Amino acid sequence: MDAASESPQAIIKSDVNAPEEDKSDSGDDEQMLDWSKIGPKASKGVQKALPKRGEKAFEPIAVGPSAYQKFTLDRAREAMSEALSTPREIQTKRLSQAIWMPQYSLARVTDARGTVFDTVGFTIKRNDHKHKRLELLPEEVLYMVERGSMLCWRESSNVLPNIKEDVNDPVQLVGDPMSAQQCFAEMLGVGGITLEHYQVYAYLKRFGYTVRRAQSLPGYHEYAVYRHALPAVSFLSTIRARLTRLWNSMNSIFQINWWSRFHPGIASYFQRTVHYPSLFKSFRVIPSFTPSRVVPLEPSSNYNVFFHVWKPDSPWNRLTPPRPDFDIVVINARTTPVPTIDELTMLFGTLPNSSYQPTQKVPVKKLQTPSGLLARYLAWIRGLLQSQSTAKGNAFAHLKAGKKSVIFAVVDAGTTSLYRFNEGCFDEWPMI
Amino acid sequence: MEDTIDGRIPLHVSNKTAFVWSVEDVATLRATHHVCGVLTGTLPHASQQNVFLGLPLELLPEEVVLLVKQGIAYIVDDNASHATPTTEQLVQWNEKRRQALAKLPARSSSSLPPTLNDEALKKRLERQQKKEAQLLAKEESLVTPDQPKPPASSSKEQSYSFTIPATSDFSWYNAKTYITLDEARTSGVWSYPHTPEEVARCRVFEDLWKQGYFMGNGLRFGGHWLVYPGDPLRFHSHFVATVIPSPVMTIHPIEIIAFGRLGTATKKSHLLCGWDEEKQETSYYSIEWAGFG
Repeated sequence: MDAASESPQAIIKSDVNAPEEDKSDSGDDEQMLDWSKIGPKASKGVQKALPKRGEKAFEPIAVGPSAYQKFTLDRAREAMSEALSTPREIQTKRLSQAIWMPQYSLARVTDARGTVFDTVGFTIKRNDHKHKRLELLPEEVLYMVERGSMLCWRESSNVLPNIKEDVNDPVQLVGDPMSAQQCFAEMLGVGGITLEHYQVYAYLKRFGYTVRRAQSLPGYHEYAVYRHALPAVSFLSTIRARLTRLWNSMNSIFQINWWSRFHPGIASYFQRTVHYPSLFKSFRVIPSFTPSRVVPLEPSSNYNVFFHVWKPDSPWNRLTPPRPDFDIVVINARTTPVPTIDELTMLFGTLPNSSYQPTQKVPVKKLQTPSGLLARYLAWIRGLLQSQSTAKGNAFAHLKAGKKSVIFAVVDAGTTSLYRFNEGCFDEWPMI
Repeated sequence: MEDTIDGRIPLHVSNKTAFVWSVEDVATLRATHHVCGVLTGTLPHASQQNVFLGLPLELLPEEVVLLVKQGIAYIVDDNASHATPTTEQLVQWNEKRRQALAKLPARSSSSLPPTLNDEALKKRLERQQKKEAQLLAKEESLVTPDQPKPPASSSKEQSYSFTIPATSDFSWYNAKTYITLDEARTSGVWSYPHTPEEVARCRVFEDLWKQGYFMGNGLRFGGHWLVYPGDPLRFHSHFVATVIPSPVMTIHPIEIIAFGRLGTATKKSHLLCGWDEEKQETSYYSIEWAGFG
């Protein structure tokens, strides 16, 4: 790779000040943002494609910035400022409105426009109103205000009821008007949501995902949350687990191939059937471990799943949400360390097996047919105890995907990175 | 926007995080003080992407400490600054809004059509229905998707362009300001730096900043910051920096290998930045993969 990048090239690069262009994928995060492509004029439905990133130079010229470098930099900064100063302008026809109720840390929607409302909030009937109304969580209000589709009012006792002057005006003074800035200050840090949570929420919403809380709202059973079915710990399964353990320990005593304790060469001299699988098997002192009891994380733990996320095209229902496509844990990079094995085990204990399935299930072929009555009987019991035998397929795809997976969204001062943690399943896919 | 204190820039702090809400301030911080921060908001006119983000600009805690210490900026407690408006203030706000509106309609109705006028909407609906009919004809066995709700637009209601306020330039906004970090710390608005590690980070950051470097967040590159020789808008970073808060801290060889490998893969050098609290000194070492074999 090094040699390739250092070899001379016949193509003259357009930018002479860029001797080292970053073409690698890993440098992608860092390519220049060409703000000129996203100016306010681009909003008029002309530009459909996503904006692209441009090219960067390696460093400023040592003597001082050249005229060309200064020009491009100024232009880039200007374009950025222009894009940033675009107002949140919207036709009142499409403007949604809500009233923020600080005492509940929720906002009730007074005017809902558009299909975005299909996947947010929950409907609730409060005592002060005779109908059910849609109420939004802080992150949902904030996101809509921020993207410029909602005007949020703050509940106020200073609004006179007879303040209506123009009945035809869709915007009526129903509370204190809130700016996006005020929403940021007031809606975060309350109702169980931090700035980091919000940043992850907005990041996913901008991509079009459906994002909902994974924990139920305290005091509001109306907010439906999908609950992963915990592995049922029935009496029968406990007995089966015990029996399996007993069986394994008996096996290990009676079925030890003593020859294999010798050097393979010697062993094969005495016993012709020695081969690598049996050798490796005898090395597995502890074959695998599965915790028999699910101990969930403390409710206050930072590693609890915070968001359930669905892909944009999956059908979704507010009352009975389907199984989420992703479980997301939100972590502040500066204050929260990587979870310990214990914490990960507890976290995975409450999650279901991932929905990733092998395309084809091929039944396991028995390599040796046991002879003799006792051996056949033992094999039958073994089959009974280990009924979920492994299905062969492409082992590596399964090993990489793991049995269960959870996504950690790591936020450091406004920058978000998403990492997937998979629970290994090497015991289910032995190579030999 | 609001009255500044001897030309200093207000940093709006809520939940111990500092935001910049003015476009001019963002530009000044960048051009004059080479402090970049991170844009974290949704751009209202391009809201379905994550490449370009908008206001507010979130500052790294190290940047806040630096800016306040250098007298470039001051801290505003944003939670405490939003007072409850009185009835008169509210009526006044509404009056002002209506007056501005009265000047507007002539322009919006004639020259500049709104993003979708009724005719376009009708056409679009027709097109949608046609498409759906085609789809249905093709795949009859499929369950019909939920019908999109007809847009709730009535011709009676007057529609006009409304601007959702971005910043709090209301008459009831009284900025509660703190000029020094100590003041802000005593009131509980700001607490960074708190631990020796955080102090070391601030010192190293300040030292690199004084040498003219631009610093960006290093989370995606496995370090604390990215160090740029010029504005990140135009130049690549040369280093990924990690702060070693004490000269006696153990660094395992495997970390060195990871740093070297990662730096090479991203065409950067890894910079180990040491801070000696006793001597009040910084020291720097860069790691690069030697590339033998």
